[in-house]
Amino acid sequence: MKKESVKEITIEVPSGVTLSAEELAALLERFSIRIIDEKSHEVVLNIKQSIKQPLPPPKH
Amino acid sequence: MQISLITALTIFDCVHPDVTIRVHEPPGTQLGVLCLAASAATHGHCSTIIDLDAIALDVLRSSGKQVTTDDLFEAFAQALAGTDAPLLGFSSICSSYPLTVRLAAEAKRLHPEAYVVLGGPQATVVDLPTLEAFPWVDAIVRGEADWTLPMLIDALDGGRMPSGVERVPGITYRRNGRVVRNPDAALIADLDMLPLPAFEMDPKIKDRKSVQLELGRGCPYGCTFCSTNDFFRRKFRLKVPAVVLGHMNQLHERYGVTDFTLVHDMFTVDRKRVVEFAEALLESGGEYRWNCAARTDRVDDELLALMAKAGCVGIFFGVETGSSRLQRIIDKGLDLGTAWEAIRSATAHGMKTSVGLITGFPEEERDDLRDTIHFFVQTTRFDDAEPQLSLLAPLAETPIEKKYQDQLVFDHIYSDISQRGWREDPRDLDLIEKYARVFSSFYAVPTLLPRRYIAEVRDFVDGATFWFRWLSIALLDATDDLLYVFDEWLRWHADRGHCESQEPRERNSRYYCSNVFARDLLAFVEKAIDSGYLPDTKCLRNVLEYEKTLCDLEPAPRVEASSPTGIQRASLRCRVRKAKGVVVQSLTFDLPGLLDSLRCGKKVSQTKDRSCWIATVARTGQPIQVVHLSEQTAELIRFCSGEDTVEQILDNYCDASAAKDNRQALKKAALVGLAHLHEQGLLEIESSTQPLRDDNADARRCAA
Repeated sequence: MKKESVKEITIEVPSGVTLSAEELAALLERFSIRIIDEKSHEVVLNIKQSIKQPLPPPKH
Repeated sequence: MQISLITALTIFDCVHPDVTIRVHEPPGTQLGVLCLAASAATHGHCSTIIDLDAIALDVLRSSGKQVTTDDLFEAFAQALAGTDAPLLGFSSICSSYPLTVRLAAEAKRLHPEAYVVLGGPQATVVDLPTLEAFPWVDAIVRGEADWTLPMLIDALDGGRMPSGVERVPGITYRRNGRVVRNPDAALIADLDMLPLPAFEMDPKIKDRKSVQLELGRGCPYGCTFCSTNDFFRRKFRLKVPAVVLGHMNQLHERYGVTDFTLVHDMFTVDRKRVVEFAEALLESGGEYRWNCAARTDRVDDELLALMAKAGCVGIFFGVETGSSRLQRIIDKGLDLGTAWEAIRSATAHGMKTSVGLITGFPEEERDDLRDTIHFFVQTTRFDDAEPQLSLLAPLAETPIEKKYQDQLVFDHIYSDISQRGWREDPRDLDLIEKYARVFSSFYAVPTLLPRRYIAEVRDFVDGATFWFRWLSIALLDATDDLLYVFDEWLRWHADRGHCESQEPRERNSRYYCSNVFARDLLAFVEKAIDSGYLPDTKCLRNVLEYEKTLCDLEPAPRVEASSPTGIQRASLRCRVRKAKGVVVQSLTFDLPGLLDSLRCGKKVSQTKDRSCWIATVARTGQPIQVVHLSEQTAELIRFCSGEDTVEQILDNYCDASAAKDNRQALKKAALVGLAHLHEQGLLEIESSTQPLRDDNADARRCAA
């Protein structure tokens, strides 16, 4: 996640509102979000073999 | 002389045609036939390739429905009809060997004068019984065919069966109605002499995500279940780094390839050579990504770190069994502690780590099976590790197959090594039943535990960890006996069928892959805890609650970047709402702490008991994401109903906040928070909202 990035903020902070780096860091910390888990969904793959392809492919 | 090389069917069926296509796209012509085409070319022979995998995917794409091997056969036969080469060479693997044999018959029917040759790992080890059973097969090239096949072509060049064939080593063929096996061909000692495989014959080469390249051949170990050591006769050989790197550079320059599957059964046997290869890669400056296979006792943290630095992003470890006793019996001889440490180290260095395990060994007892499924579930603690559990397939001419050759049983319980999901064609089944020696991988060796029980344990553990990774780990931690859990599951299933006055739902492999199983498992665990059959621990209850939360999610349509909702700029007058597919909820426990505990295997009771906020993001075609939110973030999202503008949301948030003494700073903070949430896809801007042009007015309003 790019939570430290401020370059790609898509709702523009209006001009006239300035933030110091320290202030911005504190604000981001306050509104922290962090991906803690991911899970395949049945709509994506309804059969597990499709993501359990051996690595490397079987040779036998 | 013109030859036609036909690949073995290797793709597996995922039930849903679109999934099967997506998993296998883009198809890549198999390395073996590309190597042979290149070798034949160096001897002046032209090849064409009939790629069965590519044809199968075309059939799937055009039919849009489930297909059988019979459907595929027709398409393959059409391709065979279109060739006029006087030599047809079929590659083979065990899983599609019945189909290969039937296609060879079709080839002979279509082209009676053609010389039909089989080769590859399966035909090599069943050369005599194949030729004795199937008169349409003229010869089998055994083992490495890089030199043998061109010699055979040269010998045939003057006529259909010149006497020169008798002097070609490494082939088994017919002479005067008898099957004759010539002496083995010499192994290719210097693999660096071999040409670059004929990748120019792969029509999809520029689309391929990853290209296979050979690092070397031959595994010096003698595991009792493995056939590849026999194919390469246990002679460990490695290409020099400059040659492999040269091939990688050529493929990069010609086709833009950057990802490689580097093929060798046991690449890391010679540590010094692996270091040389990694250092050569680093010195070259080429930024390639690659994966390979290794033994867990032939790597160490330092070596894995160097490999990762040199671009290794994936590694396959064959651990085979979680039982120390069986490790000795099958002549694998791994120390499981060392194996665990290698997996940990590989994942710590960022490698996707596949861990191969097998169940169904003849000597496997209940404790051994339990150890193996525990090792399987333990492996899922690592985010980047993927365990695989297969039923033993008695591959022809392996020590296990030879020992039990006269006791093989055909019980229709197939290993996924030999049965790749396609519905068996009745004609394939007839062949398998009639010729056990030829198709032994579809059979079973006698086992101490009932085969059906072993197969269902495999399906259960595989399905449980796929659907509920954390619940599976929590069940292991709570009981330390997943076979006990499985037995309780069987009892619950039987009782439920009885209570519902209906036949119990068939518990087959497809059931365990389905979300019906997922919901049944959650119901079982809840009931078993309530009934006292499973420990009523806080951890298990919390994990169950979390897994149920994810299971109940309804995914929203995927948002494409180009859609109107993907507006990239907004202003204070925009209305903002929670994005589709996002659910925000409070949990009564510390989910991040719980998941970290399960990852590390430490006691969950050590984690602090506190509530938390999460957002789940469920969209079609994407994995569910679980996002931990700070309390302020969750509160801010609560105000984003879609009714209010950004400016109103900021006001509402500040009004509700306890920190009223610094409203302006709070407003700034909330604004940055909104921007951040939008950037991460948790919020969306109403599509009807038109961005304002007067940003200065917004600024003035905000400043006021």
